[in-house]
Amino acid sequence: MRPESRLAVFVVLATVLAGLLAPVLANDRPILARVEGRLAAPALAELPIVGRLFDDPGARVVDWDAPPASLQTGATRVLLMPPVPYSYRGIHLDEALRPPSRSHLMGTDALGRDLLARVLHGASLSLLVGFGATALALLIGFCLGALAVVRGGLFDLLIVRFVDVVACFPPFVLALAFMAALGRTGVWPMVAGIALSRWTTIARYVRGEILRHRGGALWVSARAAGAGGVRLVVRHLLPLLAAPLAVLASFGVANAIVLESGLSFLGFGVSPPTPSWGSILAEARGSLDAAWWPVFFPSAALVIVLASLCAAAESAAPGESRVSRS
Amino acid sequence: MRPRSLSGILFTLLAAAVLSACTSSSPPKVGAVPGASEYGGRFVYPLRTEPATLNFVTASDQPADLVSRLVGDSLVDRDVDLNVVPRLAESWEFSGAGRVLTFHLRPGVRFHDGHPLTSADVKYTYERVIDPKNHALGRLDGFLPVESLETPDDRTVRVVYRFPYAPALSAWEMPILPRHLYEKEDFLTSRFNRAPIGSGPFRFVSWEPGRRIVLASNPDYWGGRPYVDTLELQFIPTQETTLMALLAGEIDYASLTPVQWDAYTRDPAFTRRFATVSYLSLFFYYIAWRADGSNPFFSDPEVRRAMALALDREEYVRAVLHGLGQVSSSLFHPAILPADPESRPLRHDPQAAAALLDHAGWRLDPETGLRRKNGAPFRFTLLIFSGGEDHAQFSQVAQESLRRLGIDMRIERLDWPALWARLQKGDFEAALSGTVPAGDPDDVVYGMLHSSQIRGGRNYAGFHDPEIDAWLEEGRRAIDPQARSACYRRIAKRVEELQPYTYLFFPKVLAALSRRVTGVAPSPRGLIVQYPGVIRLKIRQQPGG
Amino acid sequence: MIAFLVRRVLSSVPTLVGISLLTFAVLNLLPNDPIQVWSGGGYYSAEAVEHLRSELRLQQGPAARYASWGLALLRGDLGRSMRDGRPVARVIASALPWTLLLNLCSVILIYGVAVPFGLFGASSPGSIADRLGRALLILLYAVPSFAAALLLQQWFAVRLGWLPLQGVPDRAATAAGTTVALARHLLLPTVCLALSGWALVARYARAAFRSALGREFLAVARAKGLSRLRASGHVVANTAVPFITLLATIVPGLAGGSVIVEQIFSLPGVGRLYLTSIEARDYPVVVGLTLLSAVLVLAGHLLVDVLYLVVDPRIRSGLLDESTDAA
Repeated sequence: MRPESRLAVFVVLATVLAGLLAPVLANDRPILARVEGRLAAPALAELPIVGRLFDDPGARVVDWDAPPASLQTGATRVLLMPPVPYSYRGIHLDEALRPPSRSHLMGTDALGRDLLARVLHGASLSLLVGFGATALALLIGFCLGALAVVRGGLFDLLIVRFVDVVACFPPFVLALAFMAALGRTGVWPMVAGIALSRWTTIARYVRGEILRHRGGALWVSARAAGAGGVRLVVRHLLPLLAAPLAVLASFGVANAIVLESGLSFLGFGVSPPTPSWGSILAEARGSLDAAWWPVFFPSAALVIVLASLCAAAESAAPGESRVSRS
Repeated sequence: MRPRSLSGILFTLLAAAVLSACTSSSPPKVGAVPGASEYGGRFVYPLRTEPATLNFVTASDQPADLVSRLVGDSLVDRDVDLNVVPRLAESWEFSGAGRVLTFHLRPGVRFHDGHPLTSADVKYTYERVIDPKNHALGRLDGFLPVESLETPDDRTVRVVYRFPYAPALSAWEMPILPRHLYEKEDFLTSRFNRAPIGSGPFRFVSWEPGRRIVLASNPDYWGGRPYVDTLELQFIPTQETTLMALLAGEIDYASLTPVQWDAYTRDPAFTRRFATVSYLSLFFYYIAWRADGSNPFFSDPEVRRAMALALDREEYVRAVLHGLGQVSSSLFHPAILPADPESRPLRHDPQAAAALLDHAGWRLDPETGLRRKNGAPFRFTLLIFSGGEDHAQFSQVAQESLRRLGIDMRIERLDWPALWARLQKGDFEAALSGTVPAGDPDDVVYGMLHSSQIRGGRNYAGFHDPEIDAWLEEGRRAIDPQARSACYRRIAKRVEELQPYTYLFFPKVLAALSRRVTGVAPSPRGLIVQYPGVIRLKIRQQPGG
Repeated sequence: MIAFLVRRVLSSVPTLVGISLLTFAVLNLLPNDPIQVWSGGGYYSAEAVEHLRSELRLQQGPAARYASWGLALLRGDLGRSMRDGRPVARVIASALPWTLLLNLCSVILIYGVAVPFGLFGASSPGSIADRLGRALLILLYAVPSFAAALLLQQWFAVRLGWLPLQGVPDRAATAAGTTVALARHLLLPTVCLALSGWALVARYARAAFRSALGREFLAVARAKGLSRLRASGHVVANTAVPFITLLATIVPGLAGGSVIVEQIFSLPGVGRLYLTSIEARDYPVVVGLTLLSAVLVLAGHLLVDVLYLVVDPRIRSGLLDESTDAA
């Protein structure tokens, strides 16, 4: 691996990690505190999935916004604050639109919220949409593509036709129509809308590759060993396809993140106060003339992560990828 | 290479198609006298959206309303202070205990095609509105109480109402259609719906879809020829492009956000080129609390009062709007009904809010930090409109204020049709929206508060109060202005107590105008919508131009 | 050749039917209330709605609406816009040339920049310039188009004043003048739209040229004394096929991207019309546009197949075989 590819992979992994750990990295609640004699971890309680383990009713009702002095003494005291001691939703109207400084490394937005905290939390949402939509697209695409070959015949023809039809709709148009039809906004409608327009490439690729292997030695021997269609695909073909699919998926994640930011820009994004990079950008439009930082930092995050995703995918592409006929 | 040359051919063909789509519309030079003349010039004004139709009767959106008022002429209009002033009607009087309204039309008024405008055109326009086939929803309200309309002669229109109807004049701000042209065509698909002919100060020149509408001054206008020769309404869908277009000198007007206002009014390079204007418009924000019992929170007036006390509207206007707005001290804009000196509007007071919530049975649960009543947590969703940053910003500030009180408010952002559908169905707990009332107090409150408007109307809160119902009906029938004001004061006071809607604030309209432009006076309705408005606007001519 | 074309067109008929069915299925979900369209976002009373009761009763249910829509579509009639009452076909026709022109210009700009870039990269693979160039293109791909648009507008139109900021030009006195004005207006939006395509095309170009450069005919050509440039020409001609294929994959993306670009640059194209119609729930226009974009992509695929035949005679036999298989 070239050093720049290694850097790219590192950036992507770091972003994923930052997204997952956002509540611990940026929070106005302490990582570790003593609440009425017991140890509590209020910031950890906001982590996805594992958060439950750290949930402490006692810590929930503490007013962590209280002046720091009152939290240094007595039965309740802060032991360890996150590196960015602000929450993505902590509004401080008197601090609105402060330029980057020692206390706010990326400055603050129009409501006085720390931008670094918002960009960190935005990573989790942008990546959730990116990876979620791609995972869903992979699932649908792989299943339909593989099923088409395994079942064959009329079923195959129908799937191929269906893929042809869906692939004709420009992704942005399809996602927008889907979300308007649903009449709801949020993470999941967006994930579904984007996946809906992204699975066709994968289905086509999977079908093409499996067709290429059909009749080959692997296929024949697996069949001879009594492997059924599903087993054949999952046990024997999936490992073969894993690497190229990962490449396709990386581009898919990048595309989904771009779509998300575009939808957010047009007002079809997630509801506030949840930040995504696209929605932070959209919010910053009105203050562009007075403050560059609310536009610059999320854009920079987008550019760095997207470029890294593409660079990582490109370096992993076997033999510089062949052009598949669409 | 062959593909390249093929694309070359395609390019040429497309360019030809596009060019033929560009109509040549060099400004018609209506007697532009070089030198000292005050007349002449082009005023370019941006519109965020495009009108659906320019038919004066079926037009319902704001851009269409603006064009209608410029191309068309109405019997009456409102001036800068929202007073009703004569336009096509020289005078009018009420008789028959307020049930009969008689208009006397101005003599010698002609449509842009030279055909005279008579009372028959007024009658024709009225009949088009009430014909259900034309679904003129926006115009119907003021005409439904009409019993009959007679035209004793060419210059007299007599309207008989079923009961004394105080807001009657508002409906007659409707521009008059040319009967002789429309009669020969299908009303809804007529070509005049996209190329209107009226009798107003500006003649319609062209409408290039997605691009602009061009109007030219009507030299024969009875009220005097407008100073500006050409009025160009350009469709620019985004706010930031609009402002940049002003900076680049492509248009003459742009609205600013409070942050932009702060940045630019301090910049001498900007103020040298542009004049800045700020004024309080009729637009205001409110939150509707669905009070019909479909949720356990908001059917209780105490809870609604607590919500009003919890929201820090003053702080929002001060910090986020940079003071460029006014917290509603009553539900009426001061120009529509001056504030009652005796009223005591609810102000931010979290302690009082907490006490009210405790009293209403919503007590803080030490386990979760949320308030609960009968086991149910105080957790609801506020619907907001996705089209404006103010909606999102205020709702997030409100969310933080409520969180401190132990209330978990979620925010769901929807585009207007989706939000509208939920409001219509009553499928929501609370919703933040905004509205621009017309000039009459009845228009502000009747639709939102009268119980008859719960189904099918816009009483989204599902609010029902017999006293307010009675006063609303009284306000409609009270011909005496004093009695009317007193009636609406009572309504304002009771609404402040019951808080079916919490009226938030009036944001100021912040605008920058090219220094070439003089003679505009802002009214709560806008810079060019009020009468005579744009007719008085002048463009300083370039030296030698 | 003609027989192939006929077969190819016939084989896209099922896809066309599928496209219209899917358009139905997705847009059937659009909540559609005539009161909303009539009110235009304005105000009205319960009494006014009551007054229109007879009209509301005349409104068809969704099934009946679709049936009549489908029948009309067969006659080539897309219905009328609910918003302004104009025939949908005419509404779309006034916006379509702009979007087509914008997309065509972007495609030309994408290829015009990316192909030489790829050629350069392939001729000196692994050099610092090659690696920097690729990194630059990837960075450009990653810049969100709206951020790029605002930046370009700010610099080239507002600060420097070199180019018009938005909109489309008036017709000038001469055709040449109009073309120049048009080019100046379309330059910034075209660049914005092209940003995301460069990296992709350059990547394919580089890969294709690298494999072509390795082939022996080039050595022969060079040996025969052809200049480096002429030799490159041979390479480009030999690798035209994958580029054409690529065209079919980037055009749908461009069509989607033009929604945002047209919005920011106030271009009266189809993308902006689509957004306006979705926001107004002007259902016939949304259906018409969705259908149109899908049909255009389909037509693009058809065009690609035809271009194959034109560009590379060797493919002709293969394609013919394939289409016989499918039939």
